[in-house]
Amino acid sequence: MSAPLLLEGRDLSVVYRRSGGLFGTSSELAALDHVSFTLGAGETLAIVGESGSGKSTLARAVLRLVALTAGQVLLRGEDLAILTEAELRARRRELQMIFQDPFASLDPRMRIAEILAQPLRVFEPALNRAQRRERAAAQLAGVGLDAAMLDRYPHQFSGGQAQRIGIARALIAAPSVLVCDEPVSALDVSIRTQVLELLAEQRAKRGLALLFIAHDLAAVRFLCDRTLVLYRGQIMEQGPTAQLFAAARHPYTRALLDAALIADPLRARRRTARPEAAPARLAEPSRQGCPFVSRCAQQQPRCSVERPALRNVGGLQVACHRADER
Amino acid sequence: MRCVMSLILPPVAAMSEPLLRVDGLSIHYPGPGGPVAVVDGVSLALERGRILGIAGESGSGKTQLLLALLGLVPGAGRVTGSVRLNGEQVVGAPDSRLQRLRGDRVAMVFQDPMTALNPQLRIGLQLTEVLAWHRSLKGARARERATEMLASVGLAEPALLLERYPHELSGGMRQRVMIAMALLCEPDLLLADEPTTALDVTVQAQVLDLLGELRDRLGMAILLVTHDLGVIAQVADEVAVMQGGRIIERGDVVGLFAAPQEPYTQRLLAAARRLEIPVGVPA
Repeated sequence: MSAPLLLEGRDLSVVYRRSGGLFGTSSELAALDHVSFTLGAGETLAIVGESGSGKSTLARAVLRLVALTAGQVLLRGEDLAILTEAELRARRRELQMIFQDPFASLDPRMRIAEILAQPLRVFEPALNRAQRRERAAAQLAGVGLDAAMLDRYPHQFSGGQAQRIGIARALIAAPSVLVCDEPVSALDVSIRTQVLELLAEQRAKRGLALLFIAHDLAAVRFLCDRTLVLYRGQIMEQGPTAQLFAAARHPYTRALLDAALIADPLRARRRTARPEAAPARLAEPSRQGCPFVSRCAQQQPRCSVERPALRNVGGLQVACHRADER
Repeated sequence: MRCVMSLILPPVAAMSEPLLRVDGLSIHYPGPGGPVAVVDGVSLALERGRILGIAGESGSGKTQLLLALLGLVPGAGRVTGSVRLNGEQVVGAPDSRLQRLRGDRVAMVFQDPMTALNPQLRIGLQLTEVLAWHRSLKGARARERATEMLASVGLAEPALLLERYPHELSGGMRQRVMIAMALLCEPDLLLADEPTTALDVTVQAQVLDLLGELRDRLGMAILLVTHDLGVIAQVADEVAVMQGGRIIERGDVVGLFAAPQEPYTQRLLAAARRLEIPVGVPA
């Protein structure tokens, strides 16, 4: 973790105002609630949580695709919010993104050569057409696809191949940080490992830092050095991935781990009940106290009134009043 | 191709007709060089109270197979072979008969609940419509039955839910609503196409538990199609592996996971295990 600090989020908050309730009232929803993180060069940080946890909002806030209500995003110590449009565009070269649905993120009317040339037009305007094509061919080969595929359209590819093209498009700008929003969850299990291996290989080759957004803990364990667990926009627990998976202290992290599937029928069925699974209800939890309290089997009276602070317990940072009891 | 038929099919003439019996089912679509088979000579049988998992990757033909069981293969597809449900032939049956079967004796849940639910109608109306059509149940009695069914799939505040629109619900709640809708008429057979793939892991675990519980409680048979062998390991009794429109290997789930014979099955299983999380469950 001694890598030089590349990207930092300080106290990030994104609050959406919702209007038009039953009596025309408006309410506020904190999609991201005072979240801080750091990412060093060549490092991989996982942001994990269920839908609604704020993990995609975090990714978008880092890229300035949603406006922060509070907090700062710093790239090499420079606050992205005070940059002009032109300066921001230059920095965007360093921050590239790959998306969950490879087909939705590739223009169906463009050939692969054009798709890969787009970032070069923006970031390397000096290149001519032939040079762009040459770079596109080399990049395609770099993600394990044949350069002969340059003249095909996205629909001619499988899901796994399309995701490789999405990765090639992000890498062709030679970024230092790759934001990956659920990059393998739309793919068949058999293809996931291949795409994760490609990301690991590119990371090693280029010293690339990855901000890896996922609900799938298996992919996280495969790829990520550190893991940050979000629930309703707040950090529940964070720390080194191996340690978090071996000895999670937050009941929410443990619920996520308990829910992971095991490809072995005998072991899968020997598992115990899942007390901390989500209750399927419409009601919102109270703004006071721990956000996880309505689902927590270990709750105490104070959990409903006092929001637990993030604190160090046994090498992890945990936001749970009872974190040191186990 | 190796088929351990005896593990799925009951001994010949030793038992009566199974709930579902598929024989030599093929589906062809017109292609540039003549008809292309997306399902190619599939045979299987499923008894009441059993869960059969069909494992296959994208393009293996597993979804087309499910659609054929409901007589829902799109117009260009040509279906041959036999699908017998409770002894009744589905292939070539008239639409009027198929409409009576669907949602009544056989029901289906899809990967994406938003495509199966009507976004413009309240949940209550969508559920009671099924009861009016199949059971001539209307008004307060239909609403009562719909409320019961929502509660039985683990949804809190079911009466309140009847007044909501699909977009007001979370993904997991919509999936439960769709399962509740499929179960309203207590079908003999539930067809599930990647029912948990779009869900969070915690919700996925709950929905799979729910399927197992419904099988136990109602004696329903479930045919579950998925690319994820972890899903099959969790709930299925039997498994059939599909590749290129054919069933290439099948058997009892414990036996097949312990000793897969086909290289393709071994590859799928190895891929699933490489991504597995070592959780605190004894081996």
